[in-house]
Formats: sequence, C-alpha cells, structure tokens
Amino acid sequence: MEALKDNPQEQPLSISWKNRSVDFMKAYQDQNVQKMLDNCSKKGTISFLPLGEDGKGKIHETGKAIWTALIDSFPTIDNTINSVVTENGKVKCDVTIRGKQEKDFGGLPTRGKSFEEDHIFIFKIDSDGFIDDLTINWNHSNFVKQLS
Amino acid sequence: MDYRKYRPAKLLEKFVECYFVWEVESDKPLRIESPPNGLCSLVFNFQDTYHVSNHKYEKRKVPNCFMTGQALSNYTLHINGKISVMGIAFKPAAIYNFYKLSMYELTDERICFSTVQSNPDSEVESWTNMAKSHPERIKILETYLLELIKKTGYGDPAIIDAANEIFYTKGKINVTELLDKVPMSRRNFERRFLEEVGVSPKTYAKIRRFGYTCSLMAGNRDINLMDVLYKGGYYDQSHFIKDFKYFSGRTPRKYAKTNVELANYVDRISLVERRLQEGI
Repeated sequence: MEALKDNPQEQPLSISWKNRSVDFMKAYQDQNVQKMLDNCSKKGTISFLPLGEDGKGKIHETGKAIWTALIDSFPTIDNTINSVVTENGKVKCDVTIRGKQEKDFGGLPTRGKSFEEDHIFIFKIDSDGFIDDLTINWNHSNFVKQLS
Repeated sequence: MDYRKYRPAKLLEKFVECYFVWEVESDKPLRIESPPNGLCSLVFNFQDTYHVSNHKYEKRKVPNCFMTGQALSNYTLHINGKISVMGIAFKPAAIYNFYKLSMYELTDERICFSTVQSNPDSEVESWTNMAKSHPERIKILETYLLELIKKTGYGDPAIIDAANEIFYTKGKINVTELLDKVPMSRRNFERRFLEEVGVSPKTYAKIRRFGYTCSLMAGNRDINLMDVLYKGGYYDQSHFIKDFKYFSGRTPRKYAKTNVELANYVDRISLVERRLQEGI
C-alpha cells in the first residue's frame, strides 16, 4: 500500500502543501540551507515578523542570509515540528527551535547560552507546489532573554 | 440516541481501541461537540449526510467513509435527520502501521477512505455497505483488520509503544523521560513520531491530557474545576486554562457550562464485552 504522497494525482491539495512544508523544516533541521531554498519558488517572499522591516524580503536573499548566519552562530540548532495543519489556504507549522549560541548573532553577543522557543511558520504554496511566501513569528523578547 | 462500543480481538488491542456504533434520529438540528481524544478513526455513515465545523471550517460536509488523524481542536457535528455511523477507533500509531500513511497528512483532516486506499482494500467499504446489521459490519471490519495485520506492520515498535504509553497514561507522562527509554536519538524519535502519529510526542501528550480532562467534565454542569485540574494531571491553573483556550477556545469554567458533548445526549453508552468471535 502506498502513502498519499506517492500518489500525487490522488492527493488533496492540502496534503502536498503539508509535505512541502515538512520537507522544508527537515532541511532546516539538517542545517541544509540550499535544500531549504530548493523547496521555495525563486520569487518567494519572507517575513521574520519580530525583526520588522529588516526581516522582510526575498526567501532566496533575506531568508538565505538569516538562516546561514543563524546556523553559523548556533551550530547545534535543531527543531521539533509539533504540528502541521492547513488553515485558510496556508500551512501552519508549530515548531520548537532550540540551540546553543557560539558566535554573536544579530547584535546579540555570545554568552554561550542556549534557547528553546516556540515558533509559528506560515507557508503559502504556489500552484507549482513551491513555497511562495513564508511568515515566521516567535516571542523575540523571550528569545533575547534566554541568551542574555 | 444510541452509542455502543465493541472491544477488538486480543491480537488487535495494540492498534484498535474499540469499534463503535452511533445512531441518532432527530427531527430538529442537533449540535454535538467533541474534544480531541488522541485517537484516529475510520468512519462509515449509512444514512443522512452530516456536517462538521471547527476552527478551520464553518460547516463542511462529512464524506460517507473517511479517515481522521489527530484533531488539534474541538469540533462540532451538525446533524439533521437520521444518522447511522459505525467505525474503528484506532490507537495513535495504528493507521501508519496498517497503511504506511504519513500521519501528519491526516492531522486535523477528514479524508475520503477511497483516496487513502488502493482498490482491493477499499472493497471493505462496499462489504460494510452490503451488510445488513452493525454487528455484521463490525465482523467484516475485524476480519479485514486481522488480514491487514498479517500483511502490514509498517510501524516502528518503539514508536507504537511510546504513543500507546502516552495514551494509556492519559498524557500524564514526562516526555523527556519517555525519550530516555527509547532506543533512538531524540531527532529520529521525533521525526518518526510525527510520521507515525501526526504530531510531536509533547503535543500528543497535551492532546491526550486535554481529551481525558474533557471526559471528566462531559455531561456534568456542576463540577469542581480544581478537582478536574488535579485529576487531569495539570500542574497549575495557568496550564489548565491555556490548554482549554488552545483546544476549545473557551476557559474551563465556560467549557463546563456550555459543552454539548455526546455524553450530554446519549441514552446509553454501552461497552459490549463479549468477544466478536463469540457472536454478537
């Protein structure tokens, strides 16, 4: 018997969306930025909400720069997908991200501390099945507090 | 309104919580609420179509034969007319074990069984439709599962046991300690758990604990919330309130006063103890 993802013609759209989002999060867990980007459309946009205007841009530019810096500063960074659901035509991933800071990051000097913070990733998938927009939110003051 | 549960064969106990039959006939619209209960299901409806609403859907038609994964919020069934439903309440890792279906695909969804299944096995749908009574249908389902268990077994035993342990302890378990007992890395365990159960171990424990706590409140308007908090395994009031708001959108006090769960309506919930093979 085959899983739904092996039968793309039979899949409800929401399922292929979920698979794309989970593949993205797994690539993040593997710290493979290129693989993360391979799941996104070339013109895809991103917003790291707590970072305001500095956190908005193209996935292949702003996203790539932030994730590369993050992985460099937190070499043990890891995540747990708590749940993945479709809502209002988008995929909502509730994720816990954790890691230990080894280098300065985004104005946060390293103190060798660790963080564990819940994040919400909202994925919008385009008609070709790639991530077209990604919004990420977390409690930034709590994140900073853990590392200070 | 009649609701009956039937125990599965010993061989299936690790995967099947029970078979159930639910019959309703109502000449006026009826709303039945249900909290997430930590189980998955395969459901058949033989009479009028009904609808479901939850945080995602205002009112959505429920397929006549469908599978569900873990629910992440309370949902409400809207019934008008005659409903005759039967199904299998699966333990958390059972659907993956039988169908090798990534369970996060089913989280918070009701998916047509015909979409999930390849042709030969979907015959079970027509067999149950042809059967004349619910006991006959349950026998068909049990025979189907007993055949299925022989030729499947996709699940990782460590995941099946861990998920069942969370289920049996009603979510009152330290997930970090559970992780220590599992012979695999945390990352691998969590990935497999997401694949085979549909959510993370921590989230599954939360779902199960909430579902159990709701069952303590169902059908009871005059309850001691501190007593429920303690029996439900919550450490403090803030977690108790937070979980109720997350899953039901209401505070525990409001939930206790307004829940319209099945237990408020049924005349009889009976557990049929006799083994199916002994003839029911």
